[in-house]
Amino acid sequence: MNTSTVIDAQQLFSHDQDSELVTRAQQGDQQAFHALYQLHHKRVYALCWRMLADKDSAEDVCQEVFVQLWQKIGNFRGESKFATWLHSVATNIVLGHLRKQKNWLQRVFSIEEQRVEESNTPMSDHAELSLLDQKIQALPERARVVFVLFAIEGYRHEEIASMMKMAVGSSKAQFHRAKSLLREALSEQ
Amino acid sequence: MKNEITDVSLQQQVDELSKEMSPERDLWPGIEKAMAKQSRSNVKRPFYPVAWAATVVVAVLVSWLSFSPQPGTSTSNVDIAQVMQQDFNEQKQLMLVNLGQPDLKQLSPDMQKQFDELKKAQQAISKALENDPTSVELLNLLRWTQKQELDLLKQIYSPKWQTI
Repeated sequence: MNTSTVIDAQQLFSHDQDSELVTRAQQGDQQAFHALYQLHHKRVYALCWRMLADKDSAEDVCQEVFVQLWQKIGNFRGESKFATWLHSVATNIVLGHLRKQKNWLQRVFSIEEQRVEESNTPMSDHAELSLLDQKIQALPERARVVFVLFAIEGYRHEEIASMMKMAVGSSKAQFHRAKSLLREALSEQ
Repeated sequence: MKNEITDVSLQQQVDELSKEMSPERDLWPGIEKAMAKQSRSNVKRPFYPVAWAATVVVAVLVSWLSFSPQPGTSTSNVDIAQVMQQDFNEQKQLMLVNLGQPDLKQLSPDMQKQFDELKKAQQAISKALENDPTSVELLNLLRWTQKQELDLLKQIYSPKWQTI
């Protein structure tokens, strides 16, 4: 049995496991919902952490994702994998959080100008992170979010542009900006 | 000394990133608390008065139908009711689209009951209007039940920011 067969089998098993739990959670079974949380929260938290670059916000937003999921789980119709649907719900909640978080001061003095070397993200958050994750956290917000969605989460630029209400070209430009900032930062190590 | 990083090696590092991370604190108790709070506020408080009121509407209309005069020549309020019902259906559709087109069949039996009661009330009012087409009170009642249904949908499906 080769590695890809093992991975396929694991994915199939987790898909079936999700389906049963989702059906039960849709009927109001909190234990099933807790099991779904156990299966998926680490991945959702990673998405929140990478997009928000702040541990406390990531924890709060990850909680919010599952609270909203409990309300919205009835909307899931099984047209895609549950994990895919959950990630799109989570991504939209994180983006909504980022929009709310921005105050007028940030809009005027755009945090886009913040550069890698000027980042003030507390290093205590980075204790067990890979070097690349540390550098991603230090990227300017829009470049970071686009990079995480495109390179790590596998969204297309068209999807990112629609979610972030920007032009497709801007999404591509932010991605190239993120890549060159990361290459520069990693080269200095 | 600089160590040049290519796109390929950057991509390799990206592929090696862990897809999962563990939060430092246990997030589940907060989620569970918010879920319990939602169940209390969604199920007990707002929905029962609606069912009760809709039931009263049906009861009043049954009496109305029994004692009301035979239909007259005027059909103006019946026409208005039809237009109101069309407007209401459009508003409801628009609201459901805005709320992400939730599947109403997935509602809990309690919530389903609230919608059934409102539907029955609307049907009873429409029938009563055919018998008493000049009644403004019936039109107001119809408007009230439609508003209750829209409010109920909004209450159930509108995303809420929870303080955990």
